[in-house]
Amino acid sequence: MDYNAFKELVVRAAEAAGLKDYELYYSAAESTSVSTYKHAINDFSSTLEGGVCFRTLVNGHMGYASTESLTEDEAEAIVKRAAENALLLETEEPEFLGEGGGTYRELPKQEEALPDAAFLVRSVLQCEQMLYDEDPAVIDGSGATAGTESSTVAIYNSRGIDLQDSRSVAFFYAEAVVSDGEKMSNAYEVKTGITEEHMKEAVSKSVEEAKQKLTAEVAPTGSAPVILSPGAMRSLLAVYSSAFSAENAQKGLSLLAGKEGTAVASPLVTLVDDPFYPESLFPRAFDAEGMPTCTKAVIENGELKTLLYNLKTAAVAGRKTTGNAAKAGYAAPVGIRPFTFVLKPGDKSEAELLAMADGGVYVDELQGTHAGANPISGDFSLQSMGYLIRDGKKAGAVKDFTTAGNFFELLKNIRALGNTAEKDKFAGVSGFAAPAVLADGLSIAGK
Amino acid sequence: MNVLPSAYLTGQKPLFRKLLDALLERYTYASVLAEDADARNYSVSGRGTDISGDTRFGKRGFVVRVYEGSGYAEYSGNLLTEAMIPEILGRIGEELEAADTRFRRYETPVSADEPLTFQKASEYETDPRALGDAGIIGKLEALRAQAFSLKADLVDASARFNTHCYHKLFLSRDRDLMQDCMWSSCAVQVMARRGEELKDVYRSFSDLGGAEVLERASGGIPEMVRTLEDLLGSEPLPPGTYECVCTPEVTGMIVHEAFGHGVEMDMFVKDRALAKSFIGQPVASPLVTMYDGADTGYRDVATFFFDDEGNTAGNTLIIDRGILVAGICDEVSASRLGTKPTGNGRRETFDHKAYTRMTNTYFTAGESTPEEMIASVKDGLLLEMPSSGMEDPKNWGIQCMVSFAREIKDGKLTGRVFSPIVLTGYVPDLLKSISMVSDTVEHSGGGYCGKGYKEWVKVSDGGPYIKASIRLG
Repeated sequence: MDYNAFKELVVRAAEAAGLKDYELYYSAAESTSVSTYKHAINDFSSTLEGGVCFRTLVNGHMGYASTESLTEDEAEAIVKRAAENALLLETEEPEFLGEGGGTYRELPKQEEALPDAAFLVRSVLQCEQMLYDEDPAVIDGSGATAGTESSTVAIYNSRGIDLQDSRSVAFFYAEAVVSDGEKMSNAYEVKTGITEEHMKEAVSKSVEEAKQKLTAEVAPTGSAPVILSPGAMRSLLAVYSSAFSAENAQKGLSLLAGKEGTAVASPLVTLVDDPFYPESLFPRAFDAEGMPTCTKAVIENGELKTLLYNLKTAAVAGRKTTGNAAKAGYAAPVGIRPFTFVLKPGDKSEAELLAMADGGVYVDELQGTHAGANPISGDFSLQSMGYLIRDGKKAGAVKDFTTAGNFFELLKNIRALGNTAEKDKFAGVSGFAAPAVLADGLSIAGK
Repeated sequence: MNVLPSAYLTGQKPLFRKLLDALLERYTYASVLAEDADARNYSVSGRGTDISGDTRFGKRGFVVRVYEGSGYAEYSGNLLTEAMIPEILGRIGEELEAADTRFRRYETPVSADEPLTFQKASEYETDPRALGDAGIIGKLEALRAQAFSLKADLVDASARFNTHCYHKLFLSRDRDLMQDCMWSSCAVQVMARRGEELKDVYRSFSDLGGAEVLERASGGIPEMVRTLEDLLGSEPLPPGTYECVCTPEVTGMIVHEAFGHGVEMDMFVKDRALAKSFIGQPVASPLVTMYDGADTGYRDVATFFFDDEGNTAGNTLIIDRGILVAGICDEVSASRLGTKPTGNGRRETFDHKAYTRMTNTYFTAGESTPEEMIASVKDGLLLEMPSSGMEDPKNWGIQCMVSFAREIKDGKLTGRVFSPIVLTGYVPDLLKSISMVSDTVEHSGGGYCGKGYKEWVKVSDGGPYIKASIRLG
């Protein structure tokens, strides 16, 4: 049974049960991927998953029930289970459902059909061959993956919300492994949209990066001017975006709690949350509570304008939701997340930034953010790769050094921003975009 | 008590069998792995109380794998009905046709699939579900109160409990396996301030079992609070190479991050691990023997009976008295390398791919006591409380963070503490420098292991105290 037919049954069951306040949330995802190794198909896999979550307010308590089976019996069963669960709850926290009547931005429809399995196979083998052809240093182990992903989200509630959105994307990535006979290194590049032109770009970039890493030496230790590449800055934004969640702030898990309206960053810093960012693969006009989303400045010229709110945290703070409610899956509780977090670019070209950081280090890549960055205190100490900056240019590649600092101090110590923001290439609903950043106060530890 | 079987898997088994039979009519090899898991997280801190279902790991669904000609394909989903079987067959057929009729597939020999049938369950003492949400929160609140009773001016003390009960069914032409397992962990963190300085001590306790782990946590809190006092007066460490004694937790991090990732043999297939060229050669001091396995005899969190490819759990000898003898291997990689799988094919959940993954990874005990090891150090450090580590299988580099180091002078701890500490260097250099190994071992399994910063699986690691020469920053 499809979602719309199931929805009708659930509404009927909820009304028969006398429920007045309820919501049905549906999500489904489908993916296919194919990868290569040694000029042949390595593996082929596909996934189809989905389900619904029904929640209802009974005596001020929100009961939840979910199912992956969209059948007539389950439509009645989840209504019954959710109502029973609500009666078992003792929490005093207020609960909310979204009100209808909001204005939603119209998103462009996706017209292009996803490629079929045969196209994926043909493309991925072609991409791998291009890797081998790019440079004699490319060795076995290099490979490519191509795939498609589709997702559908729908939300219906008794207060007038009835929304659906479907998005899909085709992607590939090329991974080059190179060797000079003694050492080995690798790099990969992800692209959405499987075209020959994209493949050429990805192959060229991944091979070039892998070769640069091959020549890398260990960086010196010391305090020096540091430029964080767009990718390195995005890595930090991804880790520390949780500090901008009102839920974390209200739980005491964010150092930004109570700082709305105050300066938290250099006046050069403007950080925007944009659900409609042009490069976003999954733009959203509504959040997981069915509320309209909007583009908003989170930090503007250094001042923290707002945290990110859903209905519950907004009520606690006595303000309106920012439309940032999120669910990690159909059965997950409602949380908060950004859409595309964009650190707005500044006015410096890369050459100007390098000139300003002469004698310093250009940090191209930060690794291990899952372990070496504390999302609450802001402290990070991360294995890095990059380049020494000599005479205002990227000089020798360096590796195996640690870049350490504190994210909240980093925001205050930004001295200049590059003039182009780059977005992560293959993000889900939440993504990050940033320019290169020149900052003081970071330390580099190598040999 | 044994973990009871899943009613869902038991009820659905005939349908999974029907799907398998339909696949076997078309393909040389087919298997079904079905999973039903419940994962819950509880936390108590000054900021409040949280109880939540863990939707990353608490899932149910299945994955089928088929072998056709010279390769394999997989399909996964969270719903199976009889009506869906033809659709699944059609989808797999379409994909294999696309791959096989137009292009050569990478040669992968078919899985051995020797006959095997069993149903096994892990044991527990206290069922978290029977204890109930209120009971668990009550015990976490008691841990927090215990910490405050020992140091009233703590900025905060938090306690967290995670429990994961999972059931798996594996079916192939010749295998019919079921397992029911539960692991639980409890993590405690205490924080204090001196002036502008804020320091914290974190420790996790974990077991293959249930809520009984909460009792173990209580015993560790006094030492945590003492350590926090020491840490408040810590100083930065001048970089250099030091004679170090590592606690079992730090040893565990070195075992896992510095060496374990390097012997995952799916990286051997792609020639991306330096370890491949060192098989049969010395890579560590003769005092070092290392194992990885889900069947170690220890009650560690990554203990199970069969892996996610239907191979029985093993306990692989990796380093034998300093000589690298073997790696760990998933089934597909084993086929390609012409070796046998070691029971290390693991998926994050049914809808993720299987890779070679560590389970419980550890060094074995030696003959010295920790006291003898500290007494033998003229001028060095005792490294404690690991916080993070990075793998670098391609080049065997090591980069690990530990929270602090205690100074040792003339065989005695001076009371001076340095923090934080970064271990760096070349793995074989570090392992070859090991000169003493303690006669006791400890294992811990508070964390997850990622592969390429994703594909998280539960692991444990550990070993004895080790004494080595280590470059620190």
